[in-house]
Amino acid sequence: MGVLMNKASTKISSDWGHIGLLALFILGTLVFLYDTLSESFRLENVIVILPVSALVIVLCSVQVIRQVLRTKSQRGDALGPSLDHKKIEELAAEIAPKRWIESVRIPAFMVLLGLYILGLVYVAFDFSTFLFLFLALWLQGEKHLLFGAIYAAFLAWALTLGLSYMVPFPFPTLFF
Amino acid sequence: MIDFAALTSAFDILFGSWQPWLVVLPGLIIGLIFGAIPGLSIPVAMAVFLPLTVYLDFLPAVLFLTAIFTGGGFGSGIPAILMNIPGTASAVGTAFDGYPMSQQGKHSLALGIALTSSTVGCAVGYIILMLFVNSMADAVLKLGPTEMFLVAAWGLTLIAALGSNDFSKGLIAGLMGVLISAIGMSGTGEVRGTMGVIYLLDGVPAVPALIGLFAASELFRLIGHNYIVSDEEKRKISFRQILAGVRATFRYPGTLIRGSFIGVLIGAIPGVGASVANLISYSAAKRRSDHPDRFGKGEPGGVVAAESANSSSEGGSMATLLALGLPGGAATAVMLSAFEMHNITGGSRFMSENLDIVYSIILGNFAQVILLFVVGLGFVFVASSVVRVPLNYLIPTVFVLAIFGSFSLTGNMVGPITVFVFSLIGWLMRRYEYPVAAMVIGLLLGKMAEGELIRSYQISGGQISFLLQRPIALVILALLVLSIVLPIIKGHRKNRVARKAAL
Repeated sequence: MGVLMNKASTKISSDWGHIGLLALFILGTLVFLYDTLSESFRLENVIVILPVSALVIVLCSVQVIRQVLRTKSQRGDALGPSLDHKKIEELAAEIAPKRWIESVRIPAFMVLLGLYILGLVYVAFDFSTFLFLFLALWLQGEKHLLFGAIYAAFLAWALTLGLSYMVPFPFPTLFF
Repeated sequence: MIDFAALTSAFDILFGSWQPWLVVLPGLIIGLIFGAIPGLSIPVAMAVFLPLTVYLDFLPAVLFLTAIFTGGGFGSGIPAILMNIPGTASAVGTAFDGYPMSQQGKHSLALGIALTSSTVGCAVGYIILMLFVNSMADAVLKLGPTEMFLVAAWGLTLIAALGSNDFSKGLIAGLMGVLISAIGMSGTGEVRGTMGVIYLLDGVPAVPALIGLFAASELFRLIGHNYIVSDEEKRKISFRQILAGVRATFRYPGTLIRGSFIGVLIGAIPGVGASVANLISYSAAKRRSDHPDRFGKGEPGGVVAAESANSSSEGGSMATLLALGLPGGAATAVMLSAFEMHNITGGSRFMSENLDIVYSIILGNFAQVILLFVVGLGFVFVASSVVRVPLNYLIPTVFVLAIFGSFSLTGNMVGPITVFVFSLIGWLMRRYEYPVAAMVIGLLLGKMAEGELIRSYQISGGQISFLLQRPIALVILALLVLSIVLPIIKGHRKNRVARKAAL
């Protein structure tokens, strides 16, 4: 049993999401560095960017290696090394609904927010705001949808009106 | 130091008419509201209401704008405490401990502490302004790019303090912030990292990015919860707790006074202001504390440090405006417009010829500070009801406010798109335990640090010996080095004592 536990704990268990974020940082830094160097090699242009980029790439690479070589035991450290299987199952059951929320609701909310920004550009501020508020309430499981619709309409109207008084530049509206 | 004849005349001007006082209360309320709504910054509030000042005499006009300034300075701390969303960059440090306090159900206490620290900080700022307005102006004139770079570098050292769990993660986040701040046209005319997008020529707008990083990472995390404070008992709004916060502030006299002094000194430096002052003060408080591990987890001293510094910086920025005619930031730039609308030019001549008016402005601000405390008590009582709003409604509402606020700041879709992009980055960073605050600090100070470093390099011709000719720069450098080295020595000693005790 002890040998089995030992084998399981030393098995490589990389966190690919984390590695993806680090890859994004490295890629972004490389693109930015390339763009900077194609502009000019003058010291004034690279005095900060070159050392900072180099440091970011080195630090991120070290993190990537750490993540790639991460073992199951290191991943389990956060839960506590002495937890028994029953407790782990209990914990898993407890966090399962939260996992579901995280894996479905949060990405859905992100997509909704992105569509809302697009709606501001291509539809109108007031209507997009109403739609975003209403759908966000529905997405979060609001039961009183009629009240939600009234709230969304009122807030969309009040904010659009307030913005039109406050800013001197035009923005598209459908109703107000 | 004080011209008593001018001071007496100032009292006559202020108390000879009711007109100057009529505008103070509305100004404070406007400032509190604009400061408390993420994205609607203090300069926006001042710019929106600037045209009204045409119909006022010079003194009421300036008092109206300083009232917005004062109210907004505190107002921006309210969403930082209640929702982890700093209303402006000057309240970033407030969120570090204010929000954990809210999550523990100590929101009323945290708001009381923030209000008192702001009030005391602002009062100290104006006292120093009254005593040393001329000498502060002289000192500001002696500051060059080298000193400014060192001040920015000092602020950047807070990144190290934030990445306490995993130093390299804090550093990665901070350095990424510095790189993002360099996007756009540099001070020397090179265009970098825009990928051909003309909207990025001016760079990534800092406040929408800040809102995205802070707000969204928190709001996305809150999806699926019912309220910010999960325990119903702790959700109660308690005026008694707000008053307890008022008393609790004075348990940190050193932090309060040090924060106020840091705020005035940093606030007086044009272009630096409250956004740096609150970070340096927070960093100093954490380093000097006997319990630095409590910071970031709901330590009241952290709120005291950040709020006292960001409020007292108002006094510092007014010193440069009045004595030199130089705006220290966007808010004082709007105030300078009010000066011009009344055909008044700030500077040494204005100071010598209108010292009574200058004293009137300072005295008027003392009254504002007292009024802020009274109005603020009521305002935080109402504002703290945010914790009782169901998150179903609060999350989309705050998102919409942030999007509208960012649009009003940039005047185009760059603001909302920035909020969206940085909201995704912030959420990912928080998920993998990268401190978003470190990226915000890099973003706020990176461009300034780069600009001042380039100017220093150009002036000095790349000679390090140039530093020896700048005594103020040497002092700042010494403070910077000490602030990094001392905690390391302190920690080393602590470990040695612990090891000895274990033996």
